[in-house]
Amino acid sequence: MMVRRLRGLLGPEEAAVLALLVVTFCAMGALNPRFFETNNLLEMSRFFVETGLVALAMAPIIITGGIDLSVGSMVGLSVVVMGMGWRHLGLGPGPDIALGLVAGGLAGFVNGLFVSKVRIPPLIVTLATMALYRGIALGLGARAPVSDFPPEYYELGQAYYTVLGAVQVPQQLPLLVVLGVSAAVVLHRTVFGRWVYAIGHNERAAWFAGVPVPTVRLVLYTFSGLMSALAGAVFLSRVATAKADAGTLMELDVITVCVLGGVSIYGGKGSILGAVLGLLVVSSLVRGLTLGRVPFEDQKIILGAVLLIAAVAQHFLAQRATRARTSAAKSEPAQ
Amino acid sequence: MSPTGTPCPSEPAPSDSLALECSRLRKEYPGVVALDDVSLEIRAGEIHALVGENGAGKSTLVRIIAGQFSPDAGELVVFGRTVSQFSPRAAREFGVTMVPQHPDLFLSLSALENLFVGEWPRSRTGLVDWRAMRGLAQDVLARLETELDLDAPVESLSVADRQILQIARAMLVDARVLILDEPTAPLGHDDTERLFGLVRNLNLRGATVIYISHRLAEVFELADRVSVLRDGRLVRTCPMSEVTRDDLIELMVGHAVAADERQGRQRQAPGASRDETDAEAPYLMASGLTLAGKFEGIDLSVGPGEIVGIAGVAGSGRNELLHTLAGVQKASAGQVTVLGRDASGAGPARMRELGVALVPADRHHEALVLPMTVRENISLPRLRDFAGRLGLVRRQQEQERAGALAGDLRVRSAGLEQPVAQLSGGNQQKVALASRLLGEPEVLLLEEPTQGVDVGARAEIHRLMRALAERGVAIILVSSDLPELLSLSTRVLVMHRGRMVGEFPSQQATQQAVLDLALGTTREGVRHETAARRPVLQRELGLGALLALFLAGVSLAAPSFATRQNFADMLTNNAYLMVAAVGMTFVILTAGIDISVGAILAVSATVAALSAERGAPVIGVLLAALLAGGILGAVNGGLVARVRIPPIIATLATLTLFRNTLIHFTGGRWINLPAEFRQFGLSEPLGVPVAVWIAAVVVALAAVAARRTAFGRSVYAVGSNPDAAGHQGIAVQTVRGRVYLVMGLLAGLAAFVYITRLSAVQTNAGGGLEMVVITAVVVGGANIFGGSGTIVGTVIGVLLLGAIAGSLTHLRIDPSWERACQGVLILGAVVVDAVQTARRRR
Repeated sequence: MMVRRLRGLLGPEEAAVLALLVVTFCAMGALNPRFFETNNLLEMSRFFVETGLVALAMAPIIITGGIDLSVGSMVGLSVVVMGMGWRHLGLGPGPDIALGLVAGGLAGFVNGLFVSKVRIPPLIVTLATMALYRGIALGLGARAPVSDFPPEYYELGQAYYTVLGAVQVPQQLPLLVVLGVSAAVVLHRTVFGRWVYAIGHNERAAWFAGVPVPTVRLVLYTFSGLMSALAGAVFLSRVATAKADAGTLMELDVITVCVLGGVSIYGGKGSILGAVLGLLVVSSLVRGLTLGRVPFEDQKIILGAVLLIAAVAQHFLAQRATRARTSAAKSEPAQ
Repeated sequence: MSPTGTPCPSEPAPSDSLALECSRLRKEYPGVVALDDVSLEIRAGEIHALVGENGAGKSTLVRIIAGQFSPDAGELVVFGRTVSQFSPRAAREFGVTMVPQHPDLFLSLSALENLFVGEWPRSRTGLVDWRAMRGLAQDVLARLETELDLDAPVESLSVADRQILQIARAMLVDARVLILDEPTAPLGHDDTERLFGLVRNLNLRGATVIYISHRLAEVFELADRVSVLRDGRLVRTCPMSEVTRDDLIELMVGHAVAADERQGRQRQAPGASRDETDAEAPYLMASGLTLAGKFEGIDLSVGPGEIVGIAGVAGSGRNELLHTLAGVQKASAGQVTVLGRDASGAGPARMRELGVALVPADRHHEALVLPMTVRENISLPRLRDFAGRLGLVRRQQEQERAGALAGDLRVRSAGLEQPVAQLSGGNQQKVALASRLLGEPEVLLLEEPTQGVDVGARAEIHRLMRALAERGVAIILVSSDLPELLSLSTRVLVMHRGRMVGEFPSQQATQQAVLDLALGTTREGVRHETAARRPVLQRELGLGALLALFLAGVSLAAPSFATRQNFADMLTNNAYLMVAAVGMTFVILTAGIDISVGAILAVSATVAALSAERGAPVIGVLLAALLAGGILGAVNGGLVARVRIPPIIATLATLTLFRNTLIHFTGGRWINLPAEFRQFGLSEPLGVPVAVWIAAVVVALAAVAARRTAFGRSVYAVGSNPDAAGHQGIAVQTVRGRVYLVMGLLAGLAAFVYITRLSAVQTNAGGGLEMVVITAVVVGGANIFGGSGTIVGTVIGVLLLGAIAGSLTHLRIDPSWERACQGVLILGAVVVDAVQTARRRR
């Protein structure tokens, strides 16, 4: 029964990523035996929670055949806004995060409006807003980054929950876990999630079937803004400075994580679990390489290569699927 | 002479005056025989009409002749030569061309160019010779004795003109056999006359014409002989003088007429009484319903238990009518009421709530989501019915309801979890039906419900429809199978060219009468909308004006801006951007994108600087930069064109690969440029900085390349319509890959220009370059979907962006807002473009 449940969760792509994760773990462990220490694994989460939160929103967007290149800029924007919230309004961490969420949500909503109402391809919209939001962030906050936050601000990013008396769990990890599970439930078990997949497979047929395509898109891009803002809050708490260039090039990491995790660029396929596994692979890779004293730029090279390989693999899988579909469709006579 | 059955005696024609000889052609698909043992002779120099109902096999036959399909059995002889290989290329060599029903044109290119894509005439210098093109085009048009605005973009041409264009293109390759498939379906009276003139003209000059049409009146006017196909068989071939219109209709319809009528009339007896009593309570009512270009002023109403069939031929607008009634397509005018409630402007979801469901004809693209399972497809339109709290789907309930419905309709599948893509056509249709029936709609709209469905499933679907009607569902049926339509309907409406032209209660609806109205006698039709013609260079002129205005405005606000030195500096500083933007223009023209430009620039700049540091002469530095850029560009090109990775992903990956490899090897250090090189960079031959010279040369060469080389024109063709480009023999993937190579080379050149302005180069140069360059190209008027844009536009775009960046300091605006300005600009440009395109497309 457990096995069947497990197999239900793991499609072939997810199984592949899981295998890859195991391989990566072993490789990183071989590089540095300290890799396997519990503390190390938990410490890793300090860094991957931010990427993970954004990936939770990016995955469904890619599943619908879209993309959001502005996530990194939305992170920067919300970070700057939160900095201003403290500096000019003296807000505590709770209300300040709420302010950041409003900023991110609004930014995401604007993306969604252009995509769903004005019908501009997501690639172009988010390429433009990537510059726009980053520009606003730089304009607002580049000169004097706020860094004199009171200690309450550092809880989320730097403190621990002590579990079972001895295990130190970084405070941001439960956030990712809770949101990850919720996102998975929504995507795989609710009406909304079914709509997302339908749009990704065949937007026209989904429209004919009464799926509210523009609304779904609007929600997804707004959610992306919210998650970016949340990631920004975690970042701020961890780094203790409201840097306007926060999240630069984050989109690359997030897209790599999703593509690696089996979320197909062509739309219609992928899962939250896959994205999370992809996240773990990338994080392990980065962490292991860092422990192994591999320089930062070399890590990025490896990540870039990983993205390419994952994209190529997806292309071949997609081709096989199309070939299977056309041979079934060929039995239809042309009219 | 009996109008049915025995073929009229005709003298066997001597074989050398036969254009085409089809012997026992057979074409089969699983479950359907499209062509059954067809032997047909087309005489050289005649206009031969092919008539028959939908599905009779006309299209299949001509597509075999045109080389698009190969027959399963039988032989084809063209002008005495047997065809051994069936391909469009081979057909062209035999002298056969077809003008398809749906045109294969490059919408964003001019009419003139559409004639020559793939085979542009060249001058002695090897450049594309526009003047020769124009001459040849005018010759062809003169031969056809017709006129066409050669410079208009095809998207602004009327449907009729597009038709003429396709014929002209066919005539350019000296077609000996011209096939026209339903050419007048979208045409009005005058355009049809024009077309006839053209066809007669061609015929006089020796072309053999095969003319497929539903418009019998036209067939009588134009053709010498006619062949009637029915159910894949050739029923009769005859000179026009030996048949009448009624004869043809009977031939098309065949012996089955009388029997079907009786069956149909019997079936309607129980239903007839019902619609009398419920006449006052229509479930669906439309008044004045209009969709621009498709149908006009439609009034109809359907009551419970009625099956209203709408008959019509291609171009009648009935399919579009059904889509509009279902809310999938928005009407231009008119009202729809469902169960007394106003449904005007409602989308498909709202229509569903009101109780209207549509089963569309296109199973694969509209009715079903193929990769999803049977269960998922059945439940999709009414998923919310199964949702509990928080929107969670109650799997159990979903499975039961979907299973029950699949069982009722007898869907044959390996269970509910089988992807529908694997089911047979008939079962797929049943799944589609099930998905619409789930919500128990009061009104069911059926579009070709038994198309491509085997006999058994067809009977089951018919039974289902009658059962539904008996339960009180109001049904509107569109079917190309006239006997089916007549046997099921309680009432028959007939549409012709977008208008409702007749209504019959079932007893009076005979095939003859219905076909008569459907085929029509008039040639008036619905007016087709065409895109407004955009005057040449309008966008560029507007941009130029905007630039001038901006410069003037800033100069007024900040006098320090308006100095000659300042303008010269701005130009020089943006020279490298100009070079890179030219490269990006080519990429975007093919509907691609390259966000690794900045990284390529950084690498090239570093390589060039290093070689300068090592004492290389200026020319060596230049070559180093070009080599680096070219290699990286080739990598991008290979990834996009050979490995087929989407450009955004490929260049996102190479962006990080290139930059970080650079840092890996140089550690981010500064490289000092030697004094001799810097002197070169600061030199001003003839008073113009060398950077500006290079940019000017690049712009000039690029403009020539774009306009007058085969490569340049291929870029436009590939971006405009890659499929059509492939049909014209262009190596689409090669072109797509090559533009990235060009981009790389120009990025290398831009890097060279960039370092001429510096004394030292840091390896993180070029950050954010891609944004600026893409913005410049899009602002300059290039369409992000490819196929339109100019070098001139890009130049103005770069100047505009440069001016904005340059003005910030003079206007005392913080330069850190520059990126935000870029973002606003590109967003604005794209929105304007999207709105304009949408308006034009309508």
